[in-house]
Amino acid sequence: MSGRPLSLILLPTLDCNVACDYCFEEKARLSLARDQLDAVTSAILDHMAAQGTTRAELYWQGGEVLLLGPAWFEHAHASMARAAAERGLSLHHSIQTNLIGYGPQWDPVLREMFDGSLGTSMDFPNDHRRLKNGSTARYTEVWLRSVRRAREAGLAVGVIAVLHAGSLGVSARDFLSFYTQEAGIDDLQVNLPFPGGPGTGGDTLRTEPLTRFLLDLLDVWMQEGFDRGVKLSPFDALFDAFSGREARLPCIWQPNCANEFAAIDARGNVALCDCWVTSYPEHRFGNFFRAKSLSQMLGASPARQAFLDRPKHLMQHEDCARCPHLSLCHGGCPVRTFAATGTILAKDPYCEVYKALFARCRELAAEAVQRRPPRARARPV
Amino acid sequence: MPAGWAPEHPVGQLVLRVTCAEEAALADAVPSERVAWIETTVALAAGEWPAEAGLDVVLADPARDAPLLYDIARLRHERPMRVTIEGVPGVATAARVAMALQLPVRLRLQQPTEATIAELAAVLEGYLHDPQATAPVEFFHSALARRLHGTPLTLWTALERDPAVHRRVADDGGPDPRAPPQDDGFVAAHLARLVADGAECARCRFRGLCAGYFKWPDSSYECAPVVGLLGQLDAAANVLERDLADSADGAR
Repeated sequence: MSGRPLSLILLPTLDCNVACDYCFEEKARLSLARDQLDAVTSAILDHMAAQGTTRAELYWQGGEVLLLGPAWFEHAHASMARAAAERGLSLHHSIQTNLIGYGPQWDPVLREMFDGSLGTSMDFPNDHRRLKNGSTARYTEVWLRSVRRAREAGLAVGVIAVLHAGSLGVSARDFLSFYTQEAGIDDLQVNLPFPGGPGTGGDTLRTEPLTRFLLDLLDVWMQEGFDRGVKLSPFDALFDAFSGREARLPCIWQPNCANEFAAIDARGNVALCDCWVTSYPEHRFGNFFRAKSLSQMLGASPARQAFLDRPKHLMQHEDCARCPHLSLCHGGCPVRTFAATGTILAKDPYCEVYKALFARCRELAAEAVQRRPPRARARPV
Repeated sequence: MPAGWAPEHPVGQLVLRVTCAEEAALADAVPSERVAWIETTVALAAGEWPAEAGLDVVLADPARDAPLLYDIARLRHERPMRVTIEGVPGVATAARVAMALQLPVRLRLQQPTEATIAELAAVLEGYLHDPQATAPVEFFHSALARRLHGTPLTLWTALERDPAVHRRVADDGGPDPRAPPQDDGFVAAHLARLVADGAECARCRFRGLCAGYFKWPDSSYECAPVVGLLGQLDAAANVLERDLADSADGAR
């Protein structure tokens, strides 16, 4: 047994209840039927056995997952837990939702299946997330109301904010305040955009203004959020790393994300992650419903092998192997690279942004360590 | 030793050297309780090995081989794994990649050139300050342990070249001519001879740690650059020692 958990991103529906104009997913009115879910469950458990791992972490996304209804998830939770227990394996679930369709009917399954936590998404300012009628303002109102209700129900809410050109035009203080004050969320992750799939408006941002914004945001977080326990990813993970603590760095900075993840969508398509599975057919690993097994498909897929070979290629052809930040970045994210350059065999287009962040986080962590009392500072060799 | 020579050595733990697929099959035939490590190339590392056996992956050409570590880094979750990097040009890049992948490193050094020592200084900087460099880099790690905790060791033992502990068998089954003589008292005798001959070792503050390691096989090797490197390590130990002392004061 390797002891390492398996991570899978599941897109059980490609349907969505909103019309965000920068979405990278090819949406369709299509969802996984219950009997198909049983087949997916068996395949996951077979793959876990083949990998020698006893634990899998399943990330449920869409489309919009809440469109499936709470009963679908109650059934999924019960049947998957039963099948896993019969084989001495365990499945752990996380959910990412736009919260537009959230109501109290969801609370029992969110507590039971997702340990009382949910992830959602919102940008500031909201220029791109729209209800079907096209309104961004109404979207924001509905989302804020749902967040408030979920928090009042005792659910832990984390949010992913995708930066876009409009974000760089607001102050970092206003940006952070929208999430922490207006939405009352203290668990925030900032993602960088890429122009993927059919969407528009998610263009790769220019290095200089993006770097300036992120460094401002880092400073504001240090002044107003850090000591209050506000989690702001990826800064908090970098801070942990530079403070000598175990750090959970985001997927974009894993040594080789193709060793870490796979995504399965409602058509049975399998790819590296949700960013690839619906939008880039030529980079899929195969179709789950037509394969002998998930393990066989992953092991034999030339598309997956291309991803596996990417870091090696970067070490040979880019300057990554000479970079002092290699251990934090490993060449960065393949989908952001592909969307910006048309190839995965190049380093992340946000390379210079990352370097500036790493350098500043390192300085701030060193200052924080110096402020600590000596006893907390020393760590024996 | 080459895996094929294992039957000739029926006693003790073995480090099996595997440089081709045929030798890998021979290694599989050795009782697993006798196998301390498998020493192999990066190209062969992902093969089938005796259960639980540790892997020592040797990068003979560090600049060429370093990117390939990304192919095999996942093996560290399945068995003990270490990367041995030859102390030749490219060692800093290879060590940076290995450290980034959180792989333990052993630097295989024998009288390194000044240029290589400059690269080793970069490796030391990464070992001391890279936040993700969590695995040991030898000999730096052992040298710090000796300085901070009084662990009784020399560079000969840290780098597994003390013949009283590790004996290296050549491909023909005889003693490896590139390794120190197979004599348990070699290290002590070598150092005593250097001191008696008035070599730099006589006055060197790192004599206890080094024990004449860098003066072999050529006793006229100029040690100043390597002493500078050891000095950097010593300075880092001073800082750590101070922080640990502050820590003890704070605890009282």
